[in-house]
Amino acid sequence: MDLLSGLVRTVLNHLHSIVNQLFRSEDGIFLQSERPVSEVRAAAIAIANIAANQRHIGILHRGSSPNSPVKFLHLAFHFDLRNEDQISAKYVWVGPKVPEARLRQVAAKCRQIHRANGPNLPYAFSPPIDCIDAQTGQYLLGPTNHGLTCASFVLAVFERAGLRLVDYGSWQINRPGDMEWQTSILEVLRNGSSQQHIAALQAEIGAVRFRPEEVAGAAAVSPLPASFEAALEKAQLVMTALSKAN
Amino acid sequence: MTSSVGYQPKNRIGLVKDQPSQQAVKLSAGDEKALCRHVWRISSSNAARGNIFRIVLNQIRDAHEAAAGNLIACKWDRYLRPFHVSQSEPSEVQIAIEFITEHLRHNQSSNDATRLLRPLVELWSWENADGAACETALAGALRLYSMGQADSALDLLYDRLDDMMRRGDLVSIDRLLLQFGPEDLPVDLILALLTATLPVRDKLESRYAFLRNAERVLNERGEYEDGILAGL
Repeated sequence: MDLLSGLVRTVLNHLHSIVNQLFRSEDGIFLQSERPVSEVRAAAIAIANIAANQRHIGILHRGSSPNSPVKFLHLAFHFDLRNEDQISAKYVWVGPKVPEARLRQVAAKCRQIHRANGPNLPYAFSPPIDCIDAQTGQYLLGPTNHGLTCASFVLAVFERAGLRLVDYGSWQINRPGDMEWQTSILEVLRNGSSQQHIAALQAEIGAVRFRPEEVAGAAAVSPLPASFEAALEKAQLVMTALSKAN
Repeated sequence: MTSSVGYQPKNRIGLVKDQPSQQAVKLSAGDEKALCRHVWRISSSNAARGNIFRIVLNQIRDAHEAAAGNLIACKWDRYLRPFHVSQSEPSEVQIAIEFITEHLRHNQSSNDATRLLRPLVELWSWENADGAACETALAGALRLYSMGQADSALDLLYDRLDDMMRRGDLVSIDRLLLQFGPEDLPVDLILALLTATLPVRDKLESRYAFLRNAERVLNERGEYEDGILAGL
C-alpha cells in the first residue's frame, strides 16, 4: 500500500512538474536546463536567487547575427554596472512577448547605456522614469534621481527603448518588508558611499519598490505594460522556476 | 496569402553594393596589408582624428598616386555626389571610405570591408556635425546594414541622433524624417529612428506622419506584427 501511494505521489509530482513547465513555457519563463540563453531573441530578462529572500535581475542581450554572444547587463550594486559574457546556471530567463525587432532596439539601448556609463551607475531607490538621458544614455543624477536598484534599472532600460514593462500607477507602496529591505541596503551602502548619497538614500526610504521577481513576471505579461496584479501572478511562476533552478 | 517583399535597398542615399566598378584599383598583397594596418590605426583611441586620415590618405596616395587620384575624381561625380546630400566637397574621411570600399569590393573581401569600414563610417558621421549630419549618419547606417552589420548600424544611428538631440538640432532630425520615408529603410532602422526620437516626439512635426507611414509600409511589406509600433 505504501509502495503504491509512493508511486502515485511520484507520478503526480512528475505530472505537476510537466504541467508547470508547460505553463511556464507558454509564459516565456525558462530554466536554462530547458532552454539555454543562446536561444534568447535579442533581449530577455534574467533573474536568480542570490541569497535568502534576495533575488537579482538583469537583461540578457545579443547582437543580430546568429553567432552573437549573449551578454548580461545588470546593476550588481553601487557604481557596479556590468555587462558580462557569462551567466550562472541558476538564472532563469523570461522572454518578453514583443516583436523581435523591438527587442533588437532594447539590445541596442543596452549597448548604448553600457557604453555611456561604464560601471558608473549609482544604487538607490529612485523611480525608473526619465532617469536615463535621452541624448547620452547616461544616468541622470538630479534632485529626484539618485540611483536605481537592479530591478528598476531593468525597467529604466526598457522604458528608454519605448517598452514600458509595468503600469507604475498600479504599483502598491509601503508593502510589508519594503522599508526593512531599503534600510538594510542603506546600512550596507554606508561603507564607501558619500555622505550626500547616504542622505539621499535616507530620504528615499519608503519609496515604491519594484521587486525583481515582479519585474521578471511583468516581462511575461502580454500586452505590456503589466498591472501590479498581473505581474504578481506571473511572479509566482518565476518563483517556482527559481526554486527548480537552485 | 500575404506576400512579403521586405526591405529592398536602393541607391538613393548611397547604397553601393550592386554598383559595378569600372575604375577599381588593384593593390598588391603587400599594399593591401599596409592599407589594413593604416586603417587599424584609425580605430586606435589614441589617434588624433583629423590627422590620422591625412596619414592614411597620404600613404595611399604615395603608393598609388595616379590611380587613386583618378579613382577619387571619377567617383565624386559618378557616385559620391548622390551620396552626399550637402553637395559640398567630399571630406577626407569620405574619400577614404569610398576608396577602401572600392578596393575591397574589387578584391571580393566583404568581411574585411565590414571590419575596416566601421570605424571610418563612425568617424565620418562625427566629422559631419552640421545640418547634413543626420542624412550622412543614416546613409552610413544603411551602408553598414547592407553589409550585414545591423548592430553597428543601430549603434551608429542611436549615437548620431542622440548627439544631434544633445546639441538641440531638432530641425535637422525633423527634416530627416520628412525627407526619408520608412519605405527607404529596413524595419530595424525605422524602429531605431522612432525609438531614438521618442523623448522629443512632441517637438518633431514630421514624426507623427513618419510613424503612420511606417505602419503602412510595414503592412505592405508583410513585416507588421502586433505591438511592433506600440509605445512609439
